[in-house]
Amino acid sequence: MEMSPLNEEGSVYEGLQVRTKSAPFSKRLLAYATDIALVTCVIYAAFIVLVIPGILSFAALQSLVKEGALGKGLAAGSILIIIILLLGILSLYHGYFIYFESRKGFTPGKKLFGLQVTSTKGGRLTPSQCILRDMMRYIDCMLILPGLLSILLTKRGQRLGDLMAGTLVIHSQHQEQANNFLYMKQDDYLVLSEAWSPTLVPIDICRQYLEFAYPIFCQGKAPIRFDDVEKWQDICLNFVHPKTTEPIEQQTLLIFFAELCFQTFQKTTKRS
Amino acid sequence: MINTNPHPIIVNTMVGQQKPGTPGGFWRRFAASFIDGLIVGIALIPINFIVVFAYKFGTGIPFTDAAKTGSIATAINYGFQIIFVYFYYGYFYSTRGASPGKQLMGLKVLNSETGTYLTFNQAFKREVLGKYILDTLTIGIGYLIAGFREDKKALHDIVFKTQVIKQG
Repeated sequence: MEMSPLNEEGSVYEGLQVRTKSAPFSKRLLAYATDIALVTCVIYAAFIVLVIPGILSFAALQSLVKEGALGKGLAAGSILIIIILLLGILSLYHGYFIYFESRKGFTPGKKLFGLQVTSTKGGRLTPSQCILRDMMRYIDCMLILPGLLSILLTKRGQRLGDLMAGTLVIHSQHQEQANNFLYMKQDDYLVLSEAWSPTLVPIDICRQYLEFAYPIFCQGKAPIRFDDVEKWQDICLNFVHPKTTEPIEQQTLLIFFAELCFQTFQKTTKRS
Repeated sequence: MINTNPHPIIVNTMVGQQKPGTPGGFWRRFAASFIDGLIVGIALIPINFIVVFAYKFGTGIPFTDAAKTGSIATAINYGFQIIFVYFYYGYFYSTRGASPGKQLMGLKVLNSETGTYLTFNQAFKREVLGKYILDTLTIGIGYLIAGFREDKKALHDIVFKTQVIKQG
């Protein structure tokens, strides 16, 4: 969505200059598909565990007792059960979005793609905002066109529900990249690279080191020769320049170097 | 190479004991591929509708005659499914190492020789050739052996040299 200068500038809040980018349409679509799949998965599991055994036992009871007040009561009960089931599915679907968005600002699907729902006025999302933008999904997502046109045409890529509730979905590269780290968490890696100021590692060394480190750290195998650990430790120290002379823990060094090699390798192979 | 940083190193003999990742277990992977299957299924619903409608209108076969349209429209839909699966897994495995379902379950698919993300073609081999053909030919035993091996590799993992790990 690089149509409007507002998005490129990144100032998206009213009266507040903040460098955030509104979310691209493709990421919102993928996040929504992931959320729907997750909710459907929970509904399937609930059906297998609770609903099907419940209905079967109820039907068995109904076939045993057909006459009298109890029989009539059971017949009325079967309609009630269908209504409760529908209400349960609807409340699960809506409750999922309202709960996660009001609590954290992102659903599990949004988190994967680095999206977050924010209020255009700043501050936290209120529950009523979440409920409003959730109810508008019937128009935006089920009818497809209103939401699509609204996202493509508005300056900040808001769908109708966003416009009505005064919310905005933003995209954070940092949050999305958190999924890309294998050996350490992103924040730990950034803190360590700040402290150790690593230099660029040649791609051959990256490949060789990953072949050595991957079975140890990801498959739980012991190193074949312990001399190799010493050898790699010395090579690591050629690329890592700690600012202080505090002692370094060997394992932290090896894991950090593995992550460094991993990131370097991914970046260079992506470019070529 | 000469060590230019004479920093004291605390040698930790626990190298290999405390690990950032472990092989991903069977049920976790089952849940992940279940979610992925749903995502693929949901994404293909519009295409499937269009194919069936276009076929019925194009050939003039009445809507009540399900048997006649069934086989060819289904075959076309299978073709679309394979194309979609190729791009879906290819894109996600090569850029972030896991499809959305796998990411929700904290799993990553890696090349078991180099420990890096798969390429587009490797992802295609693993997902389409490995799962659609190999595991179907072995009536699902290909999947099941993941539960009994120590490194949790299924048949498509062994043949195409990949490994699923659980992070953290």
